[in-house]
Amino acid sequence: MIRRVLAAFGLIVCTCSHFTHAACDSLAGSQVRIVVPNSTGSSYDSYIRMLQPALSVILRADIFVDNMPGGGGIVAARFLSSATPDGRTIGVMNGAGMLTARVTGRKNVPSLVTDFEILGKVSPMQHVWAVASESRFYSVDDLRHATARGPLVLGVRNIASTSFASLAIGAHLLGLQHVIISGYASNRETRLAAMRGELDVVSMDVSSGSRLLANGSMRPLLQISEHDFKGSPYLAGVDTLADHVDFSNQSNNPSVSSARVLTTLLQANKLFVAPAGLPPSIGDCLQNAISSALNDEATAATLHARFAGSEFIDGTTTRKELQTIVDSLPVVESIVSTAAKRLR
Amino acid sequence: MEAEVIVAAMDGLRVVFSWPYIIYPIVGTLLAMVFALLPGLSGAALMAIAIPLTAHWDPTAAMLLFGAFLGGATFMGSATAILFNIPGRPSNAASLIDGYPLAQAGHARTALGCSAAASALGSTFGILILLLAIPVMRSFLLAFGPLELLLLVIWGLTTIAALSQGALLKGLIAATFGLLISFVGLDPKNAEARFTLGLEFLETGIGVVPAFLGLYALAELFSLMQQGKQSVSRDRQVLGGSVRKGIGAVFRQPGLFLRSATIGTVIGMIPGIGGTVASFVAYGHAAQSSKDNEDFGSGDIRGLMAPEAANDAKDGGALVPTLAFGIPGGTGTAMLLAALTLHGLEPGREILDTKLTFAFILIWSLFLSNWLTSLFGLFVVSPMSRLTTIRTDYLVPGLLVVATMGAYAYRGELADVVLAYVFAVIGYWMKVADWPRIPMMIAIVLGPLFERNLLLVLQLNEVGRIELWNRPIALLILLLLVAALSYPLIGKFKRWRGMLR
Repeated sequence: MIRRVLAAFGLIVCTCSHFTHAACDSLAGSQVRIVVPNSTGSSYDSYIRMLQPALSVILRADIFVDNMPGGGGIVAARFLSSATPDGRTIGVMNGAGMLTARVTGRKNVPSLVTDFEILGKVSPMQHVWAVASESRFYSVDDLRHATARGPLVLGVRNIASTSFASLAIGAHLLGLQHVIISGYASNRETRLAAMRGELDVVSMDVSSGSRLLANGSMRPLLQISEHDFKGSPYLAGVDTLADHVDFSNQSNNPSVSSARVLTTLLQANKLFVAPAGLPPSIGDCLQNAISSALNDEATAATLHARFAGSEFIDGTTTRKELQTIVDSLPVVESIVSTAAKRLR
Repeated sequence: MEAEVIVAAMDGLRVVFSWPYIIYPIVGTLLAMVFALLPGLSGAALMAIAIPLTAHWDPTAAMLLFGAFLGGATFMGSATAILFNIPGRPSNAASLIDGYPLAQAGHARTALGCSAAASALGSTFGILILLLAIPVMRSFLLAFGPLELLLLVIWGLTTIAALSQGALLKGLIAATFGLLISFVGLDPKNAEARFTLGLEFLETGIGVVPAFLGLYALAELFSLMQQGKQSVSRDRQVLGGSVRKGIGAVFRQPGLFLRSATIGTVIGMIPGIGGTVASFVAYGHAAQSSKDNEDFGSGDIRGLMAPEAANDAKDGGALVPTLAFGIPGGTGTAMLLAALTLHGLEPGREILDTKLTFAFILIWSLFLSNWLTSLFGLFVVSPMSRLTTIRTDYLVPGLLVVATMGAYAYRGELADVVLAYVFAVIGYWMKVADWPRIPMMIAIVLGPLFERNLLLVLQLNEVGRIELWNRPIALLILLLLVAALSYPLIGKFKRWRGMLR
C-alpha cells in the first residue's frame, strides 16, 4: 500500500516536473538576459552575478547580465516592461524606489502590478539609518535633541530612491526637523558624505552597507522595521521603528499607518520580474529555477557571506504584497510629495 | 606596524613570483590586453565575465587574476587611439589628441614607446603612493568632498583656454556646446528628464564613448576618405620615429611626468571620477603649464605623455578607497570589490590588518601587469605601427566597422551608433571649419561632475556644512587654480613691460 502511494506521488512529481521542464526546455540552449538596474559592481549586480552560474546550469541556458543604470531604475524598468514576454528577458528591480518615484509624481514610471509578471523576491531586506563612527548621535533621542538647535542634514542620491522614502517618512514619523540634500552620485557617496561630516544621517540597506558597519566606519542608529532583524550581527541592540512608533495601536492613527506602509515598502526590493504577458508555464519554470539557484549549496554560501537575506518568496505572494503596498501608498503620499516639492 | 607591512609586502611579492601563481597575472594581462584592443570592451567587462567563473577558485589565484585585469588594459587602449584615433576605453581618449597626429606624421613608434613608458612608470608611481598611503588612507580619502571636486573640475575647465589652439572664442563656444550636451539626461537632484526631446534613450545621458568615437574616430575616417590619402601615416614608405625616442621623452620631462602622475593618483582616489577625467585634467595641465603649447593638439609628445601617466597612476589611487573602506574608485575597482567579497576578503580593517598579504598580492599583481602590458606592448610596437601604412582603401572600411561596433558595444543600443554618427558629422564639420574639438571633449567629460558638485555645494552651503576656510585641500586646489590662471598673465605682463622698456 505504502509503496503504491509512494509510487503515485512519484508519478505526480515526475509529471509535474515533466511539465515544468517542458516549459524550461524552451529556454534551454538559448540566451537569457537578466536586466540589472544598476551599474556593474553595485549590490544588485554582485547579487545577480553570484546567482548566475547556478541559474545557468539549472535553466541550461546562457545567462548574461545586462546593466542598465539610470533614473533610479526607471530606465531598466521601461526596457523590461516593453520587452517580449518569452522568458528570455527577465530582470531584478528595486520596487521600493520605483514606487517612491511614482509617489513623488514622476512621469512614465511603469506600474509594478500591471506592467510586469512578478517572479518573486528575495527577503528579508533590512534598511537602517546610520551615522558616521565619529558622529555625536548615538540614539534617536540624540537626533531629537539636536533638532531643537537646528535641522538635521540627511542625504540621498535623488528623490526617486528607497533612501528618500526611508528618510522623508522616517523623519516625519519621529518628528525630526530636517533638510534633505539630494544629488549624490550613488548611495555609497552619501555614506562617504556622512563620514566626511557633511550629512548627519543616511539610510541604507544592511547588505550594501555591511562593509562600513563591519569595519566600524559607520554605526547603525535605527532599524526601519517593526521587529529586530536577526540576519545581521551589526544590528544587535539597535532600536527599531517600533521602539518609537506604537505598531500595536490598531486605530487609524496616521503615524502608525505611515510606519506600516514604510516598513512594507522597504521590503519591495530585489524583485525578480518579467514583462507582463509571460506564459504561466515559463513563469513557473523561471520561479523554480531562481528558487533552486538560491538554494544551491555553493551559491547560498557565497550569497550568505555577502548579503543579509536570501529567502525566496514566490511570485504570487510577492504580487499580493505589492498590491497591498500600492493600495496603501496614499497614506504616505502627502509626506513624500511634500518632501519632494521642498527639494525641487 | 611598519615591520608587519614590510613582511606582508615581501610575502605578497614572493607569492606573485612563485610557481604556479605567476601564470595568473601573465594570463590575466594577456586577456586584458586583448579586451582593451576591442573598442567598447574593457577590463571591467572582462572582470564581469570572470567573477562567476572564478567563484570557486583559490582566493590567491583569483586576486592575482583580477589584479592583472585591473592593470593590464590601459596601454593597449591607447595603442588604438594613437594608431587609428579609436580609443580602446574612454580613458584613452585624451591620448588620441596628440598621439594620432604623431602617428600621422610617421612617428607612431615614438608615440607608442612614450605611451608604454609613461604607462608603466605612471602605474609604478600610483602604486608607490598607494603603499605610502596605507597608514593615512582614511583621512586622505575623506578630505575630498563636493567642494574639492568642484574646484578640481573648474581647474580642468580652465585648461580650455590653453587648448583652443589660438581660437579662444571658438574654443569657448565649443566648450559651452559640450557642457550643454553633458546636461542631457536626468537632473541629478530630482531625477527629472531634461533636454531629452522626449526620447527615452537620452534619459541616461549622452555616452562619452559614442561622442568620442564620433567626434574623433569617425570624423577622422570621413576626412581620410574625403582627402583620398593613401595611408594614415603621411609617408607610406618611411616610418620614422623610434621607441627609444618615445621612452626618452618621458625622462626628458620629469616634472611634467610627476605632476601628471600625481593628478592621476589623486583623481583615482576619489570615488566615482575615473580615468577619463584624470587623463583630460592631466592633458589640460600639460598644455596650460607649458610655455610653448602651440603644438598641443597637433602632435606634441608632452600631450601624449601626460594623460598616459595620469591614466595609469589612477589605478593605484583607485585601490585606496577600495581597500580602506570597500568603496570602489571606479567600475574596475567595483568589480574587483565584488570578486574580493566573493572570496571572503572584506575590505577595510580586516584586509588591512589581518589579511594584509592578500592586499599586497593584489597590489603586486597590478604592478606586474602594468609593466607586462607595456613590455608586451613594446614588442608589438613595430608591427603595430606598420598598420598606419596600410592603404586607406583597405583600412577605412575595416576601421568604420570597428568604430561602429565600439559604439554599439558600449550599451548594446543601436541608438548609440546613430549618436556616434551624429557626432561624426559635427566632428567632421569642426575639423573642416577649423574649430577646436578638444574643449568640447573636455566639457563633455567634466560637465556632469561640474553640475552635480555645484548643486551639492550650493545645498550644503545653505545648511552651513561647507566652509572653504576649514578645507585645506580645497584651499590648495584654489591656490593652484589661481596660479595656473595667473601664470600666462604674468608672462604677458613681463613681455608687455619688456616692450615698454
